[in-house]
Amino acid sequence: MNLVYHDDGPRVLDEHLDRTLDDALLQHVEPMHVTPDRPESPQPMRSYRTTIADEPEDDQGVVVDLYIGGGRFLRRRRDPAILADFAAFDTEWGPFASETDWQFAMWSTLETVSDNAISRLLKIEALNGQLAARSARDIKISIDQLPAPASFNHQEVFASGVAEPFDLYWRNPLEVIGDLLADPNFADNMAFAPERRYTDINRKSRLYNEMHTGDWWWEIQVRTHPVSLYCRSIQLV
Amino acid sequence: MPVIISSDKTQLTSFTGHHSCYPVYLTIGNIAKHVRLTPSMRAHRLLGYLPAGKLDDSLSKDDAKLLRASLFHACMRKICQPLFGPAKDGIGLADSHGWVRHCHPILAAYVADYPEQCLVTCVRYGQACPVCDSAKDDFDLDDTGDLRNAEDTLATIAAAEAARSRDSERKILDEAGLNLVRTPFWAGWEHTNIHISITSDVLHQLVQGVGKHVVEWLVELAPSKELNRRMQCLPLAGNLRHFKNGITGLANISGAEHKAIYAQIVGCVHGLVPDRAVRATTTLLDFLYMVQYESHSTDTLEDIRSVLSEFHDLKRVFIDTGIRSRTQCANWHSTDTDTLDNVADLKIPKFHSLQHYVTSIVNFGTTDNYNTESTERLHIDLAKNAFRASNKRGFTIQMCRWLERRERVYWFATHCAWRTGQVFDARLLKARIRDGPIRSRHEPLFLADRPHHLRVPLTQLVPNGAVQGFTDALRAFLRRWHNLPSWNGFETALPLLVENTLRRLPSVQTWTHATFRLPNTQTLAAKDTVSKVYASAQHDRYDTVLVQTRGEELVGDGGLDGEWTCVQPSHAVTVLM
Repeated sequence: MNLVYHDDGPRVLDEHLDRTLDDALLQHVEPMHVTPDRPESPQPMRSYRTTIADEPEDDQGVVVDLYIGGGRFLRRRRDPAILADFAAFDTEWGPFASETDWQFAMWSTLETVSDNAISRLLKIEALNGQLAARSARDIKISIDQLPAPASFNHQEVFASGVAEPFDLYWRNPLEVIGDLLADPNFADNMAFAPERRYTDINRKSRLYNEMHTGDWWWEIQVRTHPVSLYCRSIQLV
Repeated sequence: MPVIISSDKTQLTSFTGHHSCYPVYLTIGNIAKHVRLTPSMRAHRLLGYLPAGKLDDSLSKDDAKLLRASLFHACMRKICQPLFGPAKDGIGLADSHGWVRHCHPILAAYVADYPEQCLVTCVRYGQACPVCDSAKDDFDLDDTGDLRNAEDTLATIAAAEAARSRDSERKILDEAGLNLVRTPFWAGWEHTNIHISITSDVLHQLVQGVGKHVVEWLVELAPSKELNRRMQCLPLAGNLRHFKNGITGLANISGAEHKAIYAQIVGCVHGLVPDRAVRATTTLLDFLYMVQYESHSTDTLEDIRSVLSEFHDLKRVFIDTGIRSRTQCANWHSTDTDTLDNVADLKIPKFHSLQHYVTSIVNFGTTDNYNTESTERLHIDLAKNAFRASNKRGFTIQMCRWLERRERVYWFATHCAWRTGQVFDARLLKARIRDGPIRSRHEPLFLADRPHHLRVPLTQLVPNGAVQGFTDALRAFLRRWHNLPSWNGFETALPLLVENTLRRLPSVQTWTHATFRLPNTQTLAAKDTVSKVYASAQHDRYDTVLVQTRGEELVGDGGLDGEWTCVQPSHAVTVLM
């Protein structure tokens, strides 16, 4: 795999550009910065601006080459989806009457309890007045008012020579990807740009673990976002 | 942005095979692999259900196969089409902070088992390799052909379509080992090379594939009675299944059982089978374990290559002993098609697939990034549970609705947790504090709050044989605790008060098992590895524990260098109160 690859980072560029790049770099790079074999380091990024010329001599720690052009954001959107999606609701608990109602709805949906069981539970006299929902149907109606992630489409597919159509249920992969990206649960564990990790300063031994440390991502990045400066080295100690 | 797609047909009901469905899952390579592999994090999302219904019986076998293939590609094309434009020109997608990034969604890995891989790449099942242009005759060589290229495949298919006669069409396809699918779904997906994206599959190719064959051969070679006896004699050990009835009688061995067999079989077959067979097995198992490392370096990849070529040097033993042909006859009527018409050779697609592991790792990171094991697990959540909630009639649409409703709930729960600065834990069904990029620290040793035996008199502890030298160890510990010096082998007596207490000590509390949490030394962000040790007559098990007693180094870092103490089993779990 022959990749265009510049060993030394940018010498001195326009200082403003330099700073923007650094900021962008820090934005997307920080959370994923983990060294596979030196987990105890309290400050993983000692000096992210080191270039080949002033790298320390010792071969301790992992050297990472970052692709500068990758994963930069374009513009700031006002609200993240996790906030914007629920902006329409007046109350804290959205379509649910109270926190208890929401908790019960969550429990009954995620625990896969049958609808009849829920309805029977809600009919118990002693529970009266504690929940606004009267039956499993009420709960479903409330849940259906919540904003949905990517929704399913149905389509009938006809094949030549077969009379009956086939059922295809699908959703837009772009929406699904959007959901995954916008999910704050993954925020700490996302990488947006390829890197090359080495176990030594001379870059003799490459390190492979996460998908963005492989060659494929780097190659694709070069193909889709060719930029004039390719990488910058950092050392994790 | 690397898109990872996986598909696998699955049975919905355990015993009656009436209902099946064909789910397609999607995840993205941006998410760190330990998160992607945790099912409760829901990093794999259901992309759709492909039609899985039965075809008309009136169709001939070949026609049905062709129809199935074109149906698959037509449906997948329909599903993936929205990604084609953005793959070429890029699209702005917002991350969880609201930053909009320029993304090119490109197919990185298609995670599937061998039949699916063939279907996806239009390659002929059992005849050719979906990744390179090796044909069946080369499957036993320590070599790969030229890597296939999506454009070449499309060109070949187009040429076959344009062919004048049926014969010339056949000839073109036969040469390339392809099937005629008019428009494969990935045609036109910019930057996507489907053949590179066919990644290695540890579960089906190794654990349930090559390893399974080798175990079969060993079992056939070795006298079964003796082998079983040896398997039964092995002591129980942490996280390892024990085969108390031996292994030769097992049917339908699961992946977990195979792994347990691999861990134990080499020691058991020694002397029962030719030495070369033992060595071949060892090299193969080395390969199996090494490709599963969670982090690889240039050196370890080189090790993999050398182990693999060593296996190729040794593999002839399985043919020379005639074992390969014998098991083949036994399997003659089985459905395992890769053993059908090749006699006494190792020209099996699975053996050839070993050649592609290093390429996969170099391209896409370690094998746990694209193991089918994780998608098999998804079936439970996204297909089987969904089916159970339906009324079994026209179930697919009900499954979609059920999933959609659950996702609404998850999304709102995430929102509620996010509002308070927490994350939603789907396993606990409640919000919990965000861990941050570095794993939260747990106590390395965990004991149950309540001792398993509240009052065990010292007099009973000692003679029942399980706990030897307890009093001596206790004294040594107390001496160190009180910083008492010793010289020339003479030790100072313990303080009188301590001595008195010891004498009057009525009983101790004991635990029969304890849990150790060790940090994962291969990848930092991953969770601790948890291992449970037993020391009890009830479980019939006394595990040995190695404890590092000096130095601040991380446990497991650098192997067993440094100061280690082997703790007698009983000491690990007997705690003085």
